[in-house]
Amino acid sequence: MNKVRDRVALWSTILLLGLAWPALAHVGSPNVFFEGEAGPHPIRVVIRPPPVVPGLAQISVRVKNTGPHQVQVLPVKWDAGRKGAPPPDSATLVRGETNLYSAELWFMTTGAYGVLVRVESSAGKGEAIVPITALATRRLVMTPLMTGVLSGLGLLLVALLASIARAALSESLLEPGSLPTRRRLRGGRLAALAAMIFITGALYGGYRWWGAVDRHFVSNRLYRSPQTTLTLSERDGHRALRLAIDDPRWERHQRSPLIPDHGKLMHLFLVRQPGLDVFAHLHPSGRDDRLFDTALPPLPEGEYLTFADITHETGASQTLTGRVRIGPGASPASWHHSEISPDPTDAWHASHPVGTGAAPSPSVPSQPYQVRWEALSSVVAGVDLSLSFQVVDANGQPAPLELYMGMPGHAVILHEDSSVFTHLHPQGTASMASLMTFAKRELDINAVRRLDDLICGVDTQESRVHFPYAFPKPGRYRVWFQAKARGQIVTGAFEVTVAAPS
Amino acid sequence: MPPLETAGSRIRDTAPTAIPWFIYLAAIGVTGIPVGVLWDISWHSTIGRDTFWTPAHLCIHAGGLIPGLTCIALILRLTFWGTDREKAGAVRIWGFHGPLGAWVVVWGNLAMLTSAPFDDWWHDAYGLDVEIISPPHSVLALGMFGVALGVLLLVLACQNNIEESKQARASLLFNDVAGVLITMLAIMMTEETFPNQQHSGLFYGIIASTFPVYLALISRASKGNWGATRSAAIYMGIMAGALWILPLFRGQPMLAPIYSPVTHMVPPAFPLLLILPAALFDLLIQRFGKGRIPWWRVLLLAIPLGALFVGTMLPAQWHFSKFLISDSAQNRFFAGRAFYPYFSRPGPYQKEFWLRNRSAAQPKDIALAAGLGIAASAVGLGIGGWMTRVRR
Repeated sequence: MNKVRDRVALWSTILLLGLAWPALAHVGSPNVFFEGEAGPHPIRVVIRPPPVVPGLAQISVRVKNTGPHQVQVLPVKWDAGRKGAPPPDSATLVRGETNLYSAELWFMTTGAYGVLVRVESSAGKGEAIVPITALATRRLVMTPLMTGVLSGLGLLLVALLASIARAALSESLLEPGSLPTRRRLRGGRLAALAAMIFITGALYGGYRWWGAVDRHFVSNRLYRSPQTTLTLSERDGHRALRLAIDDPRWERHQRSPLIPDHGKLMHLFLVRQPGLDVFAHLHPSGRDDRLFDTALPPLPEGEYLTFADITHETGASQTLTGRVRIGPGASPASWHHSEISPDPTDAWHASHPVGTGAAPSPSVPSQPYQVRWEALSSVVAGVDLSLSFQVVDANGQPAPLELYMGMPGHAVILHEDSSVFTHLHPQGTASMASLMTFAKRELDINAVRRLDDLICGVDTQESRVHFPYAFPKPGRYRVWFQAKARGQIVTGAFEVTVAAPS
Repeated sequence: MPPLETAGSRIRDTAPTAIPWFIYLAAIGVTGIPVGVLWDISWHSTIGRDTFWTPAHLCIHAGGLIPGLTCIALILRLTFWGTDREKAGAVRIWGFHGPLGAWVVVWGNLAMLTSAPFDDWWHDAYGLDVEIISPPHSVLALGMFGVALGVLLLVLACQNNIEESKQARASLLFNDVAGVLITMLAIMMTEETFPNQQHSGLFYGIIASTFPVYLALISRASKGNWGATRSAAIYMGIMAGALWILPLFRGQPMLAPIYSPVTHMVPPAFPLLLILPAALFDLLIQRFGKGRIPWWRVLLLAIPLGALFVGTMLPAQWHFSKFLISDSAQNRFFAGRAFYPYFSRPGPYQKEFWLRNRSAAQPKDIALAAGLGIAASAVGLGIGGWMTRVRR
């Protein structure tokens, strides 16, 4: 039956929705930031996806070397590839800028896309691909003005139709100049009444239809983070955490297997509420495609929010949200000797509660290394930033960094009200698995090698790591930075207050 | 208002002797609607990306605006500058005078206008819809049908009033506009009438509940003897014209993902063979359904009409659709499977019938379709009877 329905829906939204369940990495932070290279050109790309699909995405590309450049962009859907992409669109130079280019691209179906960016100048030409998941994230409510305009026009249509129906069964049947008889006039009035009943029925039917479309949109097209249930088990003093994806939509729509990101199927973040003072970054192992287990570090008692990042084979990445109550703590030894071995890359950290220290401020010093966040003069929502961190040792000397899960550093950003959650890498907001998936599919082999170099061979001697980002809304945020120095995972916690744009 | 004339010889004396120019203008203008819609569907199937100003959209706008402005001008002229005799030949609504058809055209334009902000909001709320049938598109379609129906009523009043020697020409114009209306109905049902769907009971139910209304009313209201046949031929001509002309032009998809890399404008599917039941409708209505007939004869006549509609369309489309989805029809003339858009994935389903219940239309489906056909024919005959009496 499904097969038949798929066929019949040739022109319908079912085909437009694509085959994979829409997925969204991050929470409340839909814009995609990318920093990398397109051949000899260092670029910074920002993609502002449309709130509904099909819709127009705004692309901006800043080329960091001297121009003039020719910048082109094209959308590549994961299952159609470059051969299923239209001719590229040329990005235009933004007025008043020398190296910032902008373009618009249509995303016609939900699912994983890569935006291919092609830059050419006298220095040569090159390409980069930026993964993005197109999906609906907003349900629009009609404004009173629009309601008024449409209602007014609707009333006019109803009234005119009734008058036309009256005339159709009275005057229009008369020879020119004749007057309608009483019977005819009655017939006309009956026709007007029938027209009113008909149009009222039609309007009611239309209203029901609209409601059905809206319900379908909310249930099937509007993205909601899949529900997860977290359960804590304890045996012989060892604590384990199980994350179960128990959203019925997962069973119904999840059709592409998960792929490892930095070698892990899942990156699970736990943050204690309300102070956002305890943070853990764990890597559960998958029992099947919906059950994930991990040993629990000796986190202090409290209510924790959980954010689990996963990446699908399609290249779409997704953040699953949940919460769990953790009881009185166990000893650190129990973590290291638990039945489920902790992943060597797991780490946790405690700092002062958000709002109680100066902002930005370093973490509670409990490690041989400390993280410094390069102060920003002002942080305004929606403004492009480069978040810059440095790891220093006890003497304040920069510590040489090692790769932490293939990266010189990771940053996690959480709004105080938990409406925004982002996991950042120096390359931007995309998961590395998505980036590699699209790069291997769509870029030539040399470019892929360059990407590998970029990810794995990054120069860590500088001990400073930068992340491209723009805070999506005003408010107070907690920011964690994680890196690895001399075999030790270093975590720093900061807070920042983001101002509303003037 | 005192009667200026009464029915009888004086009216015959003053019957118009020519079809007014504005009726020709409205009739030609309204053809832009189905032509523009076919072009627009082809545009969305081939290129995808569009603006308000694409030629297809301009054609649709012209199809609404030419009759609309013509009718507004007509109503204003009659109301403010018309003679008492001219006003006496019009209907009066809200103090304004105009032919019934002109009012319906104005209503259609108003509905088309209403659909514009609604559709715009819809795109913002749910994404750009590329389906033919959605709530805002239905308002637009209602408006388009209003415009076409209004023009049909304008021509109809002219046909009914004009002197006998000119009736044949007026009747031809009536059949042309009726053919435009049939084409618009057929386009609205595109998503349910692809050749691959023509073995399902639903297909026969849908066509039997709609087309007989048109065929019966056209045949009954037309002064000529072969009204439904001519209108069905106009429908098939417009569709075949689109089928043969559109693929002559190059076109390339401009949106991703592209699953079928089309290189020329995608044509519509081959039209339904409506001319077959239309001829039978004309034959029966010529014999039994012209002029004023009592309601029981209308019902009685609807029975063979509905049965004949299904009786001809079932064997005709059943076998013709088998041919259309076969390799033999993959040529410029029939363009059997050429209607698939760039965003459809090629697959064996394109050569198969899409059946909802694993089996083709059953006898009960056909019986239901015949029942719907009879009801639709009765409605068509009833409206056709009213149309023969429209004078203004």
